[in-house]
Amino acid sequence: MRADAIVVGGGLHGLSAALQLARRGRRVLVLEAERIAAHASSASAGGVRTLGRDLAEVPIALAALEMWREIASLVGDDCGYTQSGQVKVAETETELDQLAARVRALRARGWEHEELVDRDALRRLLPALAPHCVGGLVVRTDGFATPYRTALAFHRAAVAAGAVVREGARVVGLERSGGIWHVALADGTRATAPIVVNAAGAWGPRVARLAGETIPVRFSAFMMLLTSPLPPFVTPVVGAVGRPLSFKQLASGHVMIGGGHKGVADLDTGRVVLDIDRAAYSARTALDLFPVLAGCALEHIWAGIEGVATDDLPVIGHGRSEGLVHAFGFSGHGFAIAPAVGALVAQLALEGTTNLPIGPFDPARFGPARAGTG
Amino acid sequence: MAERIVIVGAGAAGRAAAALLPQARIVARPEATAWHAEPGRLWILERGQIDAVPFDILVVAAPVLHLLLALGCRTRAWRPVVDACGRTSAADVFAAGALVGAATADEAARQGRIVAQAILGRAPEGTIAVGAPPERVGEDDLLAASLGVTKVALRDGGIVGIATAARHRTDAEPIPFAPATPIPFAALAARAGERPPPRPLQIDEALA
Repeated sequence: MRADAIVVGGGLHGLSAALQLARRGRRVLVLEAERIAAHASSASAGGVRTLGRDLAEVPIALAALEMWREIASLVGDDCGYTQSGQVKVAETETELDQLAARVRALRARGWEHEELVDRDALRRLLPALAPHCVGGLVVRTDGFATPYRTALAFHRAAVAAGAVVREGARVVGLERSGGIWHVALADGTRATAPIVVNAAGAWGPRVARLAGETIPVRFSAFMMLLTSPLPPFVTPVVGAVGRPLSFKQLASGHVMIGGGHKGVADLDTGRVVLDIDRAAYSARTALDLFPVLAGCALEHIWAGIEGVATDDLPVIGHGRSEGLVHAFGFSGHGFAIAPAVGALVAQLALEGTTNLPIGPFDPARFGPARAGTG
Repeated sequence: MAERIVIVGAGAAGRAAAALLPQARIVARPEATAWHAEPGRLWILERGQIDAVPFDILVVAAPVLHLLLALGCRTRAWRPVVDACGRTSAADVFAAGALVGAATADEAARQGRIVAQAILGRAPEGTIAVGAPPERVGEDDLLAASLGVTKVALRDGGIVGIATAARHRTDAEPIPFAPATPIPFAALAARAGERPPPRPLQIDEALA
């Protein structure tokens, strides 16, 4: 099949890029090795967060937040988006000082979205929080959405805009000749396009390697815990300064707990093995901060495989080869920015430049590509 | 035999296997609940505490498909894929009884004996054939039971995106998650010790 652009990877980022390219009138082919949203896109916590972002990511996160507010007009579904606010909790005065410094750094750059709150204001926001917490950082316009539902909505919207999405289509070869990418699939078929977008998530470095590029992005299996339903006790999404935690109560009453503890992933099989002792530490952290969890049940634990860069920033930018755009390695915080990144990828692919700064995400930032350093 | 054999379930299949494997450790309700498994370790809840039981050979003789899913064993139509002596796609994991589709206690016991004989290296007296798929009580019931989540959790959602995503997979595809069955949250938290060091990022050996 001949397309204008081929997107490798049918996760949320690949589908967002496909949507934006198709809306710009391009014939888009999405090649997904397994099923759409099979890994990180469905296993995500679904946080829509500008709070605590690396300063390099703030412009994109703020742009994405504007898109989330109108997400139904973008993809025809509200994606379960809830503007609940997000709070990062300080458990000690030292941690609170860190948050204050953070706010000063943001203010110096003209960003006002993060707000420092003291113990009393924190208590009003989070009445069920353990009393030892001394303050926090708040973004009242942050929130969360439903990850798999979001990926499905982007899929439907991309297809409605004319994109063709093939599942079970594993890319095994990328060759450029005559100004065209020749893409070989495991089933023996081929596809061609002048533009290839590498949105293969944890498998992004493998796709890059097919094009002769070494991008040393690693991977992790981030674990999530889900409790039995509880009566409503917390509205915002809660994180902590000193311990890995992302904590939210869904409309159904279930509490979803993540934050960075990892299991073990296998890229060849797509399988994960949970790390129960680290999941236990996650549970302990959540229980320390929200004693109300003492009586509930743990219903489920899962983990999704995600590409993670050593500097914890995504890879977004042109490859060394002409017509190749990378967008992967979102390092566990790509869900919120996906609507905006799709637009950036379309700009990169079609215009060569973007309306927001993406220099820090340059695929070449890891140094000269040397075989064997991956 | 130096091997650590663990049998999950004390129904007809589990008891028949245990009779031939007296050294095996039995994990059965109500005393102990097997709620999760990873290669070489079965996770149990016993007297309110969470513990890991190491195994060299695991016999799953209880209707807990989620354990096999967590171990990466292949399934088809909500049944484990097993060979004639009950061995799953994981060489050290066997399944017998109702989980495999045995319709009667006699059949479950027969399967339990065959599995035990295979583990002992004896010629099994007969073969195991996977039974018909479980009666369709509704996809949600099956999926919820198999994944160890409640139906409410499942229905909510897209919420349990991973479980919903599982609906769309085919039997031939890998299962990109490891399910567990409900346990007291505080029991899991109580297992936590000192804060564990962050697990290092994984490196793709295929690109090294």
